Amino acid sequence: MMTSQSDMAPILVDLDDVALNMPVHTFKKKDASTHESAVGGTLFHRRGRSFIRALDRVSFTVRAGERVGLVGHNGAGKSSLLRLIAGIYRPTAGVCRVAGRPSCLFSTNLGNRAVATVLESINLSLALYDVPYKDIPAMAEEILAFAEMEAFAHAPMGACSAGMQTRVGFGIVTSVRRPVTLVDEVLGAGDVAFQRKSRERVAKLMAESGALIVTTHMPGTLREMCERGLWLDKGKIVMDAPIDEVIEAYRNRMKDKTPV
Amino acid sequence: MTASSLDNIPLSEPAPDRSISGAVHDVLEGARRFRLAFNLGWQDAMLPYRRALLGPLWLSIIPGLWAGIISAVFYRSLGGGRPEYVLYVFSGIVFFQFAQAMLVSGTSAFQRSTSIIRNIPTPLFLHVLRTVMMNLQTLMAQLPMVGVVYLLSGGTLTSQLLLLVPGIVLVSVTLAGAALVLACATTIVRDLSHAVSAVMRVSFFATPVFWYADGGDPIRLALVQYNPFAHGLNILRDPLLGLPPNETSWAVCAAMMVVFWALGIVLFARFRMRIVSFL
Repeated sequence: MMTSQSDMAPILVDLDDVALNMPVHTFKKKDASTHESAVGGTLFHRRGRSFIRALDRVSFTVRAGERVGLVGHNGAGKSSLLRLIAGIYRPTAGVCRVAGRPSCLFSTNLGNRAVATVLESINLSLALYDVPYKDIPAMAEEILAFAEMEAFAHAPMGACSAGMQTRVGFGIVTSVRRPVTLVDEVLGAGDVAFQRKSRERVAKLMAESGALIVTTHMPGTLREMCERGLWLDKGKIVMDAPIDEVIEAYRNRMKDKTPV
Repeated sequence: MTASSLDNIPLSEPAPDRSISGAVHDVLEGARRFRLAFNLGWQDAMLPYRRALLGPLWLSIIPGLWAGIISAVFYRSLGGGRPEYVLYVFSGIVFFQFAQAMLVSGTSAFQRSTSIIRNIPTPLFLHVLRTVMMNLQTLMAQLPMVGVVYLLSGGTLTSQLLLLVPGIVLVSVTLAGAALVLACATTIVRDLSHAVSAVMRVSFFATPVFWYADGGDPIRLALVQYNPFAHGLNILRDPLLGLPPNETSWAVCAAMMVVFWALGIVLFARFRMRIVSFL
């Protein structure tokens, strides 16, 4: 088990033998195929109900200062793991302990209404992240400036393109500072110029966070952001090593499985 | 965030699944974020009218149309030619629709907030409170028109009208408990949302919204006595009609409040951890 930071650094995330079974509704045992799937978690049936074993006996710790990248196939359990650390999912078994409330960058679309103005949407989203109300006006101004959307502050969200909405959403989710930051595939938003700005903003967020756990299918971004890698396969951690080694091993496995 | 500040943050583990204390903590945490629930509810209630010329006035126009038609058709047969019949029907429709909306939207309280629940750790009760706020704000937008109809019906400003305030509080807290019950139960048993919609449509006719129970008809008398919506309606409508507070209705409503909240907390504790995976 890799620990790249000093053992003296405080532990911010601690998972001990964590399992997560997710119920699959309207899926019956008779519908199940005997084929082993290359993607997704393991399907199983118990007492007439179907479940996906999203996480299977996962144990690791993350200390302050660590940047951890998660790699794995679609449905390997990366997003489930992040949501479990966030407290959105609860473990079926095992213990998950986290220092403080994490900052979650899971989606840039939090169900904002098309007729709500951009500023209203930002204010409401920041309140959802439990940002103190007194801090919201200044943060909203900063987000508008970052997204280069000042001129659209009072325009309805529906008048903004998908890319513009993503800029705002990215600005919101990267403005909240917490001891642990969790990022799920929201990197790479917007056009090329904005992506550069995004990377700089994430770098700043990383510098100001205690620990970062990120998943993305962009190996270059993972190498840039993380020094430690965790490889998940069907809900199990199969490798915990420096990020370059994990990406290399994962790529080699994928080459074996996928014809080029 | 400095290393020394991180030293002081203890590792925390959520309260055990299915614990009453965990459910109560969630409810209190949701209540702490009352302002957020109010803002979310405001968006739900008012934003659909933003592009409309008459705006939220439509919230009063629609029950007004209902009351107008019902009053015109049933003024003599069901209203007995009473001068306050329009006020009786209009306030009855507004208050019944408030209860109806609380229960029907309560069944989808968590589904409506799926994108938030799946992406931001928030207390789940916040989303029930959002539903309550949405419906309360709709009611508040309709009350001025109730006042106008009250004055046009010859009503005067009396101290008895002040009973509306504790009445709205009691009925709202009771319905909030019922919404919590339905939100939890419907997440597991989806049929409930259809069942509640159907029951509420039927209840409109089984509740003295536009008919009186003083004709000696035993069925109507039974409906007034045993229909919980009738008691809620008494609490809210009696002050407008100049009637003294119906002690039975207040007692029934208070009892329902205790039962719904107790059941709601038990169901919330039982299913809280499963809700996100059922969305």
